[in-house]
Amino acid sequence: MTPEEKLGNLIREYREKRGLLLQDLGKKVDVNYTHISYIEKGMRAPSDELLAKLAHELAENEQEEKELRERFFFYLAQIKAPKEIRNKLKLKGEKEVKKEEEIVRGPMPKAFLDILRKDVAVRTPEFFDNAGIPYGFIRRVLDGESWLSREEVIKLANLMGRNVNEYLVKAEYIPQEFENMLGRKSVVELMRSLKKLPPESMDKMISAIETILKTLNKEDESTRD
Amino acid sequence: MSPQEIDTVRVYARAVLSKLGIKEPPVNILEIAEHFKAKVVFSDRFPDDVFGCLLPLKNGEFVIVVNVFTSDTRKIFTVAHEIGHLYLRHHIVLDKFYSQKRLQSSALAQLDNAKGKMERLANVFASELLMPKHLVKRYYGLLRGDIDKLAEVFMVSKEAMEIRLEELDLLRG
Repeated sequence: MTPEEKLGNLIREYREKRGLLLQDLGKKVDVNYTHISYIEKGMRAPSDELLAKLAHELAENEQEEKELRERFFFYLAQIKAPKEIRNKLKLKGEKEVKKEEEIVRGPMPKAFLDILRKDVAVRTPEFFDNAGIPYGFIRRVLDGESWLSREEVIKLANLMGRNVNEYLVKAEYIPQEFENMLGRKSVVELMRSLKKLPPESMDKMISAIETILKTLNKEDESTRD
Repeated sequence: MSPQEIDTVRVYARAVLSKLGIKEPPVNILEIAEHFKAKVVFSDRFPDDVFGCLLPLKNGEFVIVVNVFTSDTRKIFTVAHEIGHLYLRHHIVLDKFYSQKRLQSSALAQLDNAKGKMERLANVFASELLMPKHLVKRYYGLLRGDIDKLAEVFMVSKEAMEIRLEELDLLRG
């Protein structure tokens, strides 16, 4: 990943944490939302001034703002650094953060592993290797040592001729907001209509809709107060 | 789609316009969305080939999600198209269909047909909503058939306007 992409991902992560739409954040920092979108995709680099504004809007308190600024400007420094050294710079503390995330993740939900185990049992290891999902990886997932992303769950469901919806529900990969806000029937219908899309597109759609529902939920709560 | 079905949908679309007192182009699609309790939001994470989608919420309201990386005229058309689904109650039709006890494979084939039809009807609705017959005819005269200007006035793509003019037998040659 390039430093531009890393910076973009970090901004997006915080924007979503705050439940802001691109438009909302754009308004707050006085730029067109498309500019922010490009920055988040790592296709453009922000100015120092804009980056400071972003840190201010995205942080919840002063302490966080300070940390965020530090991380933001570190990436910006990498972006502006000469090509030869730009990817060699390392941000202190980044590794520790990653480790923490890994520890928090336990095995996948039992209901999912049960169904997956049954489906895997009737197939040969080559079946998975040929489909581009190494069998060894699936074993590790079954042993609770590794995780499947949502995209991989969708891929596997298609591969096994299973209902994608069922797999996703069991893997707890259908966000809670879906059922809370749409109701069960709408969720099922939505998943049916997404079925024709390739796994990566379906994954994109689900996370896009999740973000939107979360944001709307938040707005709802704040107007109720 | 039978001609009757198309006509009915067109009448529905014009009824919406007259109910909201919309008499001049461009049609304010956001006003119409608001009327139907549909909130329009953009997403920058949709796959390229998805223009938008309609989400019926539990509380009876709707969310229309539009792919931000599409042209302005396409965004407007997408919203109009989703309002078509909403107004024609397609989500309820599908729901009824799925709640049948046993779904035969013939029924599922039927469903695929029905879905294709729903998409086309939503397009008919959107086209009439954004380019209602009487307004297009009036402006066609006023602008002496200039397609570029017509597209601009109605805030639709040139291609959409061309199709519409053809439907109304206004396209020369």
